[in-house]
Amino acid sequence: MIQWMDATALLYSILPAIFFVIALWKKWSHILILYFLCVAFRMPFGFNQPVLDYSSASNPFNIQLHSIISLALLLILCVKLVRDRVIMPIMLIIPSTLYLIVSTALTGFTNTFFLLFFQYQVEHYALLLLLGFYIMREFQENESARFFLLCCISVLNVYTVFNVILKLVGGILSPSLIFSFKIFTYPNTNSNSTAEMLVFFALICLLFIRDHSSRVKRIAVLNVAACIVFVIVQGERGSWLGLLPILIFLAVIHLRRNKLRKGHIIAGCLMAIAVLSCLVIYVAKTVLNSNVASFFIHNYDNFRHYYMDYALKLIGNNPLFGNGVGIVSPYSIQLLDGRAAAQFASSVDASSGTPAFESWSTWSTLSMNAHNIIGQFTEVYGVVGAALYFLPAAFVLVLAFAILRSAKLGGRAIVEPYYAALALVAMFTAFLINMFGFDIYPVFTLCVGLLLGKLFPVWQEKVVDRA
Amino acid sequence: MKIVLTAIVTALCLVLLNLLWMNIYRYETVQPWSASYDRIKSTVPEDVDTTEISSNVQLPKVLQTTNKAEYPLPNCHQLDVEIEYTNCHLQDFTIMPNKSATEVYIYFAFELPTEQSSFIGPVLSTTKYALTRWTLDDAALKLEVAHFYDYFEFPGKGISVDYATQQVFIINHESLTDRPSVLEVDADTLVPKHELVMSRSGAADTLNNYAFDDDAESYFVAQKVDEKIINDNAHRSLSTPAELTLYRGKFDAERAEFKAVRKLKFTDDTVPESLQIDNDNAFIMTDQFIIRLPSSKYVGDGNDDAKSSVELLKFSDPEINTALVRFQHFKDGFYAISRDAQKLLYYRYDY
Repeated sequence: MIQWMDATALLYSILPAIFFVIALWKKWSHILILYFLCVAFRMPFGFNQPVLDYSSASNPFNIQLHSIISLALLLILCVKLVRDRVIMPIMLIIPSTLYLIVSTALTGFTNTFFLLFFQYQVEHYALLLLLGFYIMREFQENESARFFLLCCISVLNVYTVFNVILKLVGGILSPSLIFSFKIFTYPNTNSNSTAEMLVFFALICLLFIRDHSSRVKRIAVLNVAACIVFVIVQGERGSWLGLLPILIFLAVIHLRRNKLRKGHIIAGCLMAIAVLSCLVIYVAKTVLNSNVASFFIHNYDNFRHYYMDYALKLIGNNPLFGNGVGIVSPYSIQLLDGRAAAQFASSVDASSGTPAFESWSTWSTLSMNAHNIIGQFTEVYGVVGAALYFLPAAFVLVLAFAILRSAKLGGRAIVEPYYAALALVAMFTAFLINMFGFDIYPVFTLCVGLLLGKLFPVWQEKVVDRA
Repeated sequence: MKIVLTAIVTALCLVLLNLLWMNIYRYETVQPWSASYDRIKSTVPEDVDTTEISSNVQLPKVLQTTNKAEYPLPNCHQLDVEIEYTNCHLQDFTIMPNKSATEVYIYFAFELPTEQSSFIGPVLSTTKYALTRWTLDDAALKLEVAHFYDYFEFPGKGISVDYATQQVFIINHESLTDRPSVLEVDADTLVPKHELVMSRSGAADTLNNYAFDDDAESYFVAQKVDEKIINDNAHRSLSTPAELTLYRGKFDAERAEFKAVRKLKFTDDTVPESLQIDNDNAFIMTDQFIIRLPSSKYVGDGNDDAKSSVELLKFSDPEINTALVRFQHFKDGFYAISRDAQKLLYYRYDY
């Protein structure tokens, strides 16, 4: 039943898992950070490859080894949190899990269910959420771990510098080069995702920008600045849009906190960047008829509204409880019905002779996901299910509001409403990116976990205890 | 507990807000097309001179011979219909008399011009198609029905009609399954009814055209697989295919495939000029005639000086006769022939 894999599996799945468990028990936060970044970049499990259906006679339910490992890690993490008497984050993931199981049980289990359960529910949702939460709690007392995390992000940012330069140079030399080498879109095959991840990196770094340690603070500031620059240069519209609340937030923070001339200058610069971004979007839209990345490509078409149009039609079928698992399989492949799925799964691209699901030409016509994360979840699970899925994010929102309100009423009650405001900005940013993006789900969950880890103890201590 | 309930309500609001946004996004992008109907109507003025269209062109009797000589069409007008479709690119058209043969319907498929959404943020460059039905009176072309299709619904190779059943089909609709297919549309409303997807075993990788005869047998022109495809990310240029095949067979709607009973191959031996299949309208067939359009090798760069000619081939089982007539010096365009071969419509590109 389980598809045992080769040495690659050992390297990418089992070893990180062993490290994970040891790190968790021994509190080696540095190793946890590496694991955390690996998962964020989907490296250990090869998530960046689209998976349609690898089920076979020997593996009818399509359960992969890394899925089992992830489930085990999740259970270990849950046990650890329960022992620490922190059950709130676990409670937040239970409703959606139950919903998924019960709703699928009513319609019948398929191999797609297991695929979705492990990828969406376990690996990209529950595990990342709890991991983010746990790490953020642990980091409160561990300055070197915080510094190490930001150093890791710095390394990735330096890598991105090369990526962006190569992309631009390659684009100028030959437009087709942009799509010829995956290096130009590191770490994903999609440059949109790279830019979106950078936005979330900026958000993560902003969590440490007011750190007590000066070296952590310095490296956080540098990272945020780098992320902002790279996102702008990447030229992805959704990310530009997502960056705007961050820039405005930073400008407001500087205006409020720093009455000195220096603060005004920084705020002015940030606002100028925001305005410039808007101008770039406007010019790209009206004059160049494209964004910067696609400037080199003729006849650039944007099919996103077809995806959304199609998604809305699907949502209309059963708005409350959705169309069920399988209507949109993980990562983009749309299965209209059994016939189409069967044909697609067995088809071979005529021109290249490769399986159709590896061919971009086929993908471009088949990638019928909603290009909107919440919309896609609504397609599958309905309004009710989607609401349960985004319960942790909504919980962060509510926590942030409660903390801000408490700070306003109690004055001294909350020392630092900065994090609450940042959480609101993060949620708003995520919502803006969600409007057009589709590949940021794991990083978004991670970010929610981190914010939860930051806000929940503050809320518990300051708001609840005071009440 | 209170905070959890608040969070649940917030999550619900978030999802509903997102649905609202998706609807606004769709409205913003789809809405501009609502004006397209008027645009099509306005581009063909009611008082357009359709004398040449409506003239009942008698094809000369000499066409019945197998003489390959090039004729200047003594009995025909040159049917260069100068209709100024300023914003709409004509995809294909076909003609069909109604059941009582009192009226002639003309179906035009247009690719509508690229529109930009006014919505801030994303650049939306979208393509839509319109399938329209017109009546051909002695006096004028009159637009009766129009239906708009999304890009995914209608990148059709052409339109075909079944005279016997008065059904209208869009051919080679590149479906989500990337298979040659035929989209059946309602003849009155032009709304898609259902799609018939062909299996790969149906021997057609690209369906170029499709026609019916009285026995509801189907003819279709398909393209062999091993064509060269040059894909430069934006323009999909097809080189001359190695082989074209005219299939004849019954269409099995249950199994969604054509049962080819006869294959007639066009190769360089039988057809001297190279065929340009990327032109979607290389073949227009009735049960008797095929119009072949040996065009310039490359379509799309506006080479209006290219010398082209059109041949009318008589099709009779088991083989295709040689050219019956050749129209010379015609530029690239679209052709439709009525089933009785009494009307020939020609639309010339106006570069």
